[in-house]
Amino acid sequence: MKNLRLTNNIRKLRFNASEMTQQELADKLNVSRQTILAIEAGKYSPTLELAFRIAEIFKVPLEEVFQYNPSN
Amino acid sequence: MKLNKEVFTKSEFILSFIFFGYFLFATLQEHDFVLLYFLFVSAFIFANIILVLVLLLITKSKKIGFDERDKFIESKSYRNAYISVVTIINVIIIISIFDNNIFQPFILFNSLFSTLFISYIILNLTKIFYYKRGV
Repeated sequence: MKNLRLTNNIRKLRFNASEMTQQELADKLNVSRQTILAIEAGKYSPTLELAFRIAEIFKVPLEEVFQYNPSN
Repeated sequence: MKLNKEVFTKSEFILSFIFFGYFLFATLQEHDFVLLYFLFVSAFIFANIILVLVLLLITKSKKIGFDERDKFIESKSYRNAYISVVTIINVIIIISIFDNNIFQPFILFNSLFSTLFISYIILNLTKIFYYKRGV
């Protein structure tokens, strides 16, 4: 079941960060590529720590990476 | 490079399914069941070690990858396995109230051993389910 309330811009941010691959991001975060894939697809909500680390890598605030839509 | 935990879980599930099938087949034949359990548990542990080594060699990995998603999936799957163990044991207790034949060592050992194996299969099955569907 997709978690539609929590959306993210990781794919877009990766593309803007000189087309970073999922594997490169996974290596930087020390998680598996499948975890990045699941987060991007909305199949897994990361922990707060991982969410902050993702935002730190792209050098953007957390709200730019993840958005919460209570109406969905 | 790390071995994907999802691949490992799938292989573990297939292995446990084969072993459980063989166990059911072996218990139908009348063997010395204490020796059978001992051999069976030893063979299962040995097969798991071989499985890890083979998977590490095939994927040229140094260790099995384990991150927060795997941990979350594992905790959910262990909860399901625990519920299945408790349910089956409760069913055995209820059956034993009506039928005292269950207290025969062969039947009791078999049912307990099967309970553990079924819960192990449920553990791996729910892990695969959560990997596919997402948590």
